[in-house]
Amino acid sequence: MTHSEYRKLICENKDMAQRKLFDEYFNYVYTVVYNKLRSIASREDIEECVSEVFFNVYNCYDMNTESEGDIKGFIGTVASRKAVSYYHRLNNGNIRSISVEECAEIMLPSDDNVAKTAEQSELRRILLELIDRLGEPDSSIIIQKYYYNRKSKDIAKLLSLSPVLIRVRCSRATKRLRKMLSDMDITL
Amino acid sequence: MKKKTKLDLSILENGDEQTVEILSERYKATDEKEKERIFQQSINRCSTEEFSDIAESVKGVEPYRRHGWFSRKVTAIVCMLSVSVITVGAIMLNSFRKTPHEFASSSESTETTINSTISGNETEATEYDMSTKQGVLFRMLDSIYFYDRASGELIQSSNAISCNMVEFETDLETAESYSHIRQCWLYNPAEVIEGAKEEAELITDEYGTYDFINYSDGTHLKTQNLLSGKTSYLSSAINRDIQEGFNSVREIYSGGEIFIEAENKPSPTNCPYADDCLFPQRLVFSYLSDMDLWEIEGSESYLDRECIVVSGRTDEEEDITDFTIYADKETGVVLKFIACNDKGELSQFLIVREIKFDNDSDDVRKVDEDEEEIQ
Repeated sequence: MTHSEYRKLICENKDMAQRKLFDEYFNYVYTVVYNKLRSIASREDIEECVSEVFFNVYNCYDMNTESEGDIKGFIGTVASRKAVSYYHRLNNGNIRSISVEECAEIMLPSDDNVAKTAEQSELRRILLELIDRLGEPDSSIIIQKYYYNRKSKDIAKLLSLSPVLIRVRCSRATKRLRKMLSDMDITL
Repeated sequence: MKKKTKLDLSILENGDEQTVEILSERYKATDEKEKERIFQQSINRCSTEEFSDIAESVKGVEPYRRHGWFSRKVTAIVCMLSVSVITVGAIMLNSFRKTPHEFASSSESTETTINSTISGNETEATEYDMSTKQGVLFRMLDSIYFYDRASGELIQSSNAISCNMVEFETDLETAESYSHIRQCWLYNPAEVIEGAKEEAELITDEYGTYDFINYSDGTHLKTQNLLSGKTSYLSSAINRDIQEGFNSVREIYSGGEIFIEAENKPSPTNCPYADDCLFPQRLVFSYLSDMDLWEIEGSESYLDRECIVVSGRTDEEEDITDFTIYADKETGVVLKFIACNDKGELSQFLIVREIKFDNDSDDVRKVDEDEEEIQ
C-alpha cells in the first residue's frame, strides 16, 4: 500500500483504512517487534507493543504529507523504534550509563564488530535458506517451534494440522536440518 | 558424554532487514485469534484517545429526566429478546440432540474426515490406521508423538519368577521423568495377569533384590538406590524433539520381503523400565518384525481404553513362542503383553495397572538430591 492509497482510504472510510492497513502489515510489524524482543519480552508484552505500533501509525500519520512511495518503510520505522523503546524499558537494569565528564577521558571502543556482523548476517541467510529447503509444512513447523517457541498444539491450530503430525514432522525436519547444517560445517 | 541440545534459532534474533523480510513474507507470525485480539487493542486505544478529546469540551451538568414510556419500552424489548434467545436455543439444542447410534456414527465420520484432511498425502492419512497392520506398527513405533505426558503403574516380568513393579511419570516436552522400580517375587503369575491385588511380596535386601528410582530433570538421567542411598549419573536425558537415532535400522518384513526399514531410536520417555509400555519399539522389533507371523485379533476394552489385540508367534526370541499384545488404539502404547513358551507356560509379561495421559496424568515428581552423593 502506498501513502497516497492510504490517505485516499482514510478519506473514504477511516475504519476500513485502518483495518486494511492492519491486515496488510500485521505480519511484518509482529515479525519486526518479535525479532527485537524475543529474548526479553513475554508474549503479552509483544502483543502490547504491536498494538501500540498500529495505534501510533493510525494516530500520528500526517495526512498532509506529500510522500507517495510504499508506506511499509514508515510502518517499519515506527515498529522498530517502538520495539527498541520496549526493549530498553524491559531491560532497565542492564543499561550502561556514563557521565558526560567521563566520556572525554575514556575512549570507548565501538560495540560494532563489522566482520562478526557480516558473518552472522551470512549465517542467517544460509540458515533461512536451508529451512526453506525443507519445504512446507516442515519449514513453518521448525520456525514456529524453535523461533516463535510455540507448542505443538498451537502450531497445529496455526497450520491446520493435527498435533501428532506436527510432532512427527518436527522430529524428522529437525533431523534433516541438522544433517544439512552438519554437511556445511555449521553449528548452531 | 555429548550433551544434546534443542535446535537453537536465536541467531535469527535481532536480525537485519533482510532476515525480517524473509521471516515476515514466508511465515505466519500468529494465528487469527491473536491477530484479531491485537487489532482490537489498537482500535480501543484509538477510541480512548477520541473520548479524551471529547472530555476536554465537557462543562457543567444538567438533570436528565427519562420519559416514563421509554423505560417501559426498553423493558418490553429486553423481555422479547430474552424469550427469543431461549426459544432459539431450545430449538437448536433439539436439532443437535442425537441418539447414541447417531452420535457414534457421526463422531466416526468426523474422525475419518479429520484423518483425511490432516494432509493431502493419502499414504500419511492411513499411516496410523489401527485396523491395519501397518497402522499398528507405525502407531506403536511413533507412540511418543501421540501424547505429551503420561503416568501410571505396571508390572513386568521377563522370567515369570520375579517381576519389576514400576511407577512412572514422564513429560515428553520437558524430558523430565520419575520412575520407581522395585523387584518382587511372584507366587502366582496368573493372578497378576488377571489383575489380583495381593499377588506379590517385597523381599528384603538379604536376597539381593533392588529398590531404586530413575529420574530426569530434563537434562540428566540419574538413578538413586533406595536401599543404599547412593545416586549415580546414568546418561543425558533424551528430548523427543531432538531424538537422534542410534544410526541403525531394523527391517520389517512382509511376504518374505522388506516392507519398511524402521529407525532404531533412543527412548525420550527417560523411564527405561516403562519403555515396553510407553515406547514399545523393542516389542515391535522383537515380535512384530515379520508381519506374516501375527494378526490383528480385534479390539477389547482394558483400563477403560480401547485396545487393538494382536497375537502371533515368534521364532526369534528365546523361551517365547506365542504372544499377545494389547496396544492402545489412541496412543499405540502397550497395555498388556503376554508371552508363553512352547509348552504353553507363561514366560514373559507386562501388565499396566494404571495409566493416564496428558492433562489427566500426574505431575512428574521432583527429587531432592544431595550433590555430594552423586557419583
